Amino acid sequence: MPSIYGTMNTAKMALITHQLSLEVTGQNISNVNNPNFTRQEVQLEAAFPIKPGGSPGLIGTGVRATAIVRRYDQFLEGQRILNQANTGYWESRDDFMARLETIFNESSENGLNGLFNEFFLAFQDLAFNPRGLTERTNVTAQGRSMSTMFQKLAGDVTNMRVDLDTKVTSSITEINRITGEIVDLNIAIHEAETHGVHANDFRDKREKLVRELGNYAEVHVVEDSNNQVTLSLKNGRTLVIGQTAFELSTRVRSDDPMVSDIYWKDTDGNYFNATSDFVNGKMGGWLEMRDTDFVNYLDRLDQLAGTMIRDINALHNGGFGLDGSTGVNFFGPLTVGTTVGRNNTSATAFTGATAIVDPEKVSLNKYQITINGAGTFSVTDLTTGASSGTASYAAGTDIAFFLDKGIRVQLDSLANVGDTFTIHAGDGAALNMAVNSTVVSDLNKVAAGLSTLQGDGDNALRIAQLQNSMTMGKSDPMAASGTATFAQHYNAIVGDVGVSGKTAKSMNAQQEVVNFELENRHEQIAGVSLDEEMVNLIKFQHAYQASARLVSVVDEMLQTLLGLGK
Amino acid sequence: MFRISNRMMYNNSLINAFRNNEGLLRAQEQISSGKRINRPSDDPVGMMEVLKFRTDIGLSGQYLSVMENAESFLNTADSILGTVHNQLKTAKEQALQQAGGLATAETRKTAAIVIDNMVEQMIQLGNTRVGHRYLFSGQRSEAPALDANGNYTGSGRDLTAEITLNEVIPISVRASEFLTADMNPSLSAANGATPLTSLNGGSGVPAGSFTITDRAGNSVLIDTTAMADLEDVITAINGGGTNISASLSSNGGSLVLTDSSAPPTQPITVQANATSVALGIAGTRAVSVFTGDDLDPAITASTPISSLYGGQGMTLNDIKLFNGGASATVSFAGAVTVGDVLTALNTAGGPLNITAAIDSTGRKLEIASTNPATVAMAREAGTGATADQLGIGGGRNVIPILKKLSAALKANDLPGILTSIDALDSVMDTTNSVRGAVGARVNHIITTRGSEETSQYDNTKLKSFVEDADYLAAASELAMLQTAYQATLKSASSIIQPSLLDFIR
Repeated sequence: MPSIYGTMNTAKMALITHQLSLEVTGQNISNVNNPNFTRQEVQLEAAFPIKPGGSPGLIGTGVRATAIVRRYDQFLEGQRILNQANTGYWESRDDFMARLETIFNESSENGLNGLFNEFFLAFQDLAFNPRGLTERTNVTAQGRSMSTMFQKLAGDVTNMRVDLDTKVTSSITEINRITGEIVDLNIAIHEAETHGVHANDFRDKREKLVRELGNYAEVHVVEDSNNQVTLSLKNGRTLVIGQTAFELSTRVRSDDPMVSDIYWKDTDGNYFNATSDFVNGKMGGWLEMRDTDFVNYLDRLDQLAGTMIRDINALHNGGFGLDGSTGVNFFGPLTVGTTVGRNNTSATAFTGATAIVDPEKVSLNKYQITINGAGTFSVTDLTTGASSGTASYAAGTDIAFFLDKGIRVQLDSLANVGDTFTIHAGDGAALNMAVNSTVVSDLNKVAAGLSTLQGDGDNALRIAQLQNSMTMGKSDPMAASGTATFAQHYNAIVGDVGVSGKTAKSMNAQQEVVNFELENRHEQIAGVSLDEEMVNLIKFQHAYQASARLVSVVDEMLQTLLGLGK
Repeated sequence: MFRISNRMMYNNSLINAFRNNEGLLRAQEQISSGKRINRPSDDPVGMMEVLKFRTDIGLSGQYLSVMENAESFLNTADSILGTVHNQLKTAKEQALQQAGGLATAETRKTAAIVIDNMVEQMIQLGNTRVGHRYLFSGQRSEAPALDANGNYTGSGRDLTAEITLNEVIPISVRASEFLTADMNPSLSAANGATPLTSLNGGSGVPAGSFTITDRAGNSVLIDTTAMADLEDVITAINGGGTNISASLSSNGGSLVLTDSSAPPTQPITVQANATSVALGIAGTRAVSVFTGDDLDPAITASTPISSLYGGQGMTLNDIKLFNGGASATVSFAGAVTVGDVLTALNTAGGPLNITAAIDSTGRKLEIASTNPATVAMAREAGTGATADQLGIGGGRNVIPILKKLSAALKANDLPGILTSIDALDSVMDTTNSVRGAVGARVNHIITTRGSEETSQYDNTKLKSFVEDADYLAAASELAMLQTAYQATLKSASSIIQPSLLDFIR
């Protein structure tokens, strides 16, 4: 026979359960605008039925809340994390490429392209009137504005590399914070869930952090049996294992002091260079631009400025000034940039003998030596991508391979196999371009003529004609013809900046759409709908009211029973 | 069932409004800047085309400005040639008058004064300056073209200008083309052909020594004390054991040092002193080919005929000599050097009391009569320009001919006056043909300018086609986006507002 108190108990359970449901609904409503919140639901279950004596069958004992669960799609969450990496990557590229475009903005007439015209026109005018003071002044003035523009372009791109590096280094601090917090949450979730409770809000928070991390770089997420996540970068470098976060730090690169490498510390305190492990995501975008795109643009600017300096100086050297001077440079001479590989194991360095010995046909390509034996090395031409065979060198003597390219370099000792060194005669050509101060201070030294005849403007004309010569992309500086003029080479840079900018812009826009769709799908499942919650509110309120009514009915029944005894 | 959360609706409205806004911004930018391409990424390919057009337009501008200068230069020359021609007509009238029966020794003396003044005027015309430049001096534009005696002191090299892509034309007229001849020899590496004393307009090269260091660091000491000619210098440099070989430049005006050091480790260095400067090769140059200064040799008896006129040489046809009514034909058969020509002239001229020599400036020949009462003259025996080119006949010798006329008038030498009239015709012809050549060059410039202007115009049009905004399209786009934007806002306001909350009281 059923117990009247059993019914009371059923009513109590219902009241508690519906109150709980109302509380969860309240939580949902409160978090309607929290983007990282996942809608929660109370899972209800009919309580274990009993068969009291005298009952014809099983009687339910009311309702029970078994769990508070999140409306959550694990597969979708995986997609969202992965998508964060793409979003971050294209966002960072769009951001910096748009900024790069403002540097190379040739849509006005005052860009470098226009200055080329002005510069060569000044030489054309000088050719016509080689003795004219105005023409001489103008040649140096235009040379200076063009140099200033080169300096500005290279300086701006260099500054952007520094900006990118700042982004990278400050993000490392941020990533360390995130991984630290994830570890804390791992612990919290583990503790909560071993007790059989769904740690919904902790999980929401952890997922948000993982997505944040995923925005920085592509990360792989694995949840272990302890409900703790293991995070690793694309190449397998782990950032978090359960309750351990691996610390990242940055170190200034010895071979490129403007930027830093990222180091990863293992549990034994050893540091490993992890720069290349950051692919995709904002970090991937920044690192790629910092170490590839922008370096490439700088190299191409250097190539252009260097060729101009080399070729114009060679012609200018061969002419005569009004004062009979000859062998004078028009631009300040090129210098050789040398760097010692940052991963070298030997202490071998360049000696002070570095110099350009053949300024007329010095190769402006960037060469990388890789030591492949005792006193032997192979060379990669980083500009053309070509590699040479093996050449040899001795400590403290001119390296024949480079002497042949017009560059004198010496290594002070024999380096270890695998060590690298780079040699670049055009290094910083754009950044340091300047009209030779001797020419600026004494205009008579502008070598307009091929003789000391004062009406001879033939040398100025030779220089002016460089504008239409295929000066760029020559296999060898003395080759008759290359593949592009100065302007064409520069226009190609602008074109590439435009293409990169356009790609980044449209990819970013597309990514936004993908993002938007994913967010919508996520919202569909996990988002809070006020309408729905209002319906729930009414639903649970009514249930609560009905349960309360049940209590009063049982109470009345009890009163009736108690009345019987009077 | 499709669940719609509140954030979905907000986000949706927001993102659509942003998209509309961005479109509006772009359309507005196009309209306000007037350009379709405002940054390279707007249209990278178009941007590159625009840059190419801009270079081409700028280049056309360059050539147009050069052509304008060149044309005004040539026009000035043309007007002076016109003045010279008119003066020559006056001179011919004078000569004809004084050749007539009414002329006396007195009238001829008076006429001679007129002609002398005319010579002065010719020298002044020849020394016309445009700005600070002497118009008729060729590349030696800093100095007058003619000295006080009317001899050419300018350069044999013309001023040039690039009037359109890779077309370099001479834009100067040298006084030596019409006022007085300049035989302008080029250098010769043959033994004895170019004595060191003939260099630098005859000033020569001071004896001395200097070192030449090649790009590998090898040196040679060149001592000119015992050297006679350029060949000796070249031999000494080539035999000096350095990687440098000496030769003459293709225009025959200067020495060229070619360094074959491989790999080079330093610049070519030629110790600078009076000797090396006079040889045009003083200085340090970081190049493999060191082309020296213009050496401007004067003619000497040993100068080869083939090196005259800038190395083009000259054809030696027969000429006729005149003196006091007598005449003789000179044949130059077999003449190889200027000395041979002089010998032929002196041999044929001897019986006529004529002597021939190189003039004091070393630029042309001159003939003189040993009889003070007569004037020695020369002209072509048949066709050709031999007397003209040697500086003793008509053609390009306005000043010498006028001087001969003046001398004939002063000497009351009727045959001389009559021969002068012939010569005046010849120089007038030359003046005319030089003028014609100037006119042809001006015409060429005008034609070229026309096509350059056309291409500038076409390129400007094409550039505008690629770069400029289509206002109509941009404006209608703007209007369309505006409508869309308003619709977005409207719909957002009506969707976002109501919720079940509004209906539960």
